[in-house]
Amino acid sequence: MNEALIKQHIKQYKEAILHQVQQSTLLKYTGAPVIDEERLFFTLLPLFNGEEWEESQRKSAIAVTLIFSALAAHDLVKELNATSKDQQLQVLAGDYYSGKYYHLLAIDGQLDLIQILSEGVATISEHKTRFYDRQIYGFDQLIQSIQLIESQSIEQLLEYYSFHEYIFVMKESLLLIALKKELAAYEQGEQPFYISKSSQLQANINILQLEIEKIESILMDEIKNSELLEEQLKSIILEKLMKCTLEKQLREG
Amino acid sequence: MDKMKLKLLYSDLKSDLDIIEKELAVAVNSSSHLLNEASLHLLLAGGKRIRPVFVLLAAKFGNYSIDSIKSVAVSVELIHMASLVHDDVIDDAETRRGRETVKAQWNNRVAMYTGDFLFANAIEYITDLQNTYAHEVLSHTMVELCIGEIIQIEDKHYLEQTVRDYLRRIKRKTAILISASCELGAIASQADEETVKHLKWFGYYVGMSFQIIDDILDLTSTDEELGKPAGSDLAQGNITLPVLYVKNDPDIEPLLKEILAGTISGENRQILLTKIRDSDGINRAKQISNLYLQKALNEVKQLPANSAKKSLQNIALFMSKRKF
Repeated sequence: MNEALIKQHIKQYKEAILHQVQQSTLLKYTGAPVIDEERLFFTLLPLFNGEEWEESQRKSAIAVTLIFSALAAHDLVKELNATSKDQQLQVLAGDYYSGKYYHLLAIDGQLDLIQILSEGVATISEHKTRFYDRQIYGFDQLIQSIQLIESQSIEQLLEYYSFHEYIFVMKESLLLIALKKELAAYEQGEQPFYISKSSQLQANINILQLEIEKIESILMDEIKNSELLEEQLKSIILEKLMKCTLEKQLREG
Repeated sequence: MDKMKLKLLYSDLKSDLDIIEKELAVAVNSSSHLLNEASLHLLLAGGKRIRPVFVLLAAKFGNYSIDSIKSVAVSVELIHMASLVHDDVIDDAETRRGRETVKAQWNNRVAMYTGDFLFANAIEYITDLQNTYAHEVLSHTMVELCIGEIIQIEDKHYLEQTVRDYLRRIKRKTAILISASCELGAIASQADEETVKHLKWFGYYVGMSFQIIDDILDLTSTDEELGKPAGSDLAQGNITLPVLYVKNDPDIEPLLKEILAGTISGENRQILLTKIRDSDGINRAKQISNLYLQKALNEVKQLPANSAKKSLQNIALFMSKRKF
């Protein structure tokens, strides 16, 4: 599939997702739900690679995106003093999007998928709390948590529809993008979501940099040599993965 | 509410409720050390477990088997628990049932993840029930619960709201989950369609009556009975039924505006509460609660003869007549 068509699909999906969760008060105070376009892109990877994609898969992909919107809404609740109206509604926005994903799959009769995805959300919540736990987690454990938080629900979706062969590229790409964004934010003195809460990651920024390079190298090879992915799609993925690096280089002059 | 007295009304469910309690402990068990602590903290705080009770009693009207309905009972209680954890963030509550809230002991973000974990477990548990309609009911309930809370935030401090606005709000905030508990219990035990319908409406009417009484008690109970200052709802800007009936009383209106603006003194707060207690607002609200109670009892009457029938009747009466 070419880039223009991919962009059109992403736009249509975003519209469909926004349509699912239209709620005037939430829109007014919390804005539209967070929809991460990179994540949506990797959720739809089989579709973009020309796989058969039916209505139930379309709905399931929307449901998975809603899960991430729900989790993202709760990540926006401040750790302390969430007393403003916007913050109170941010709490409810997350719950509302969660209810909507469940409802969407329920009316479609996708009970098995509901079971799998809800188990996944529980696991994601467990891994998010690792960044607040007194218990010390090792560097590798934290990277594993980041990967799970970033991609678990999509992995479950791809497994469910037997698109196993896309999982590696999806998981590693989303991890790479997340780590690059984290590192860039950290270097700019911002408060990146994971690094700011983990002294373990802060103390190992150099190792993190090496980890990023390692993932990038393996992933690039995997994509370039893939027999599965269409050539056009390969270029688009590679471009996405390089985007953060290019942005960093531009910042550094 | 006097938990002991309430428990006597469904003492024959004790062994099954013990199973539910154990299952709840399994459900909140987590590989995360922190989540385990937070969830256990919640579980130990107890609660009336009234929603599981309704699930079990409703299931008595079908082919009752604790193994096939326990997942429903656990699920509705987890949803209730999760929404309380998130509500405490919204209300900035430091304590609940005399214990520190999750957000107070850790922080808001941990409370968010704890609630998400419980909601997710609730959904996972009920997928044991392979009935699409049941999932439509529960997912719709979860969405409506949120809308109820959203409206509550919207309506805060808004004195022009009507009785109808209030009733619509409490329907979503409270009645719908009790209604779903009854309906899902009946569906899970394969009760007949007519029975499912009566139980659903019974739950709805009991929930409405219960919430109105809860709102009355916030104004009429002592601080000790409530475990928080009387009139807390009002101080937070939540305008409830008794207040709606007297909001235009010239003796009450100025004080009402003061409390909603957050400028009221301790002395004036007591004066306001006394004035509301002495007004006919309380009695009028009680009458509305009673109307819902009668409707609930009328639904019970139409249910097939069964030992659970009496229990439902007694619980409805207890919940709607309680003193604190």
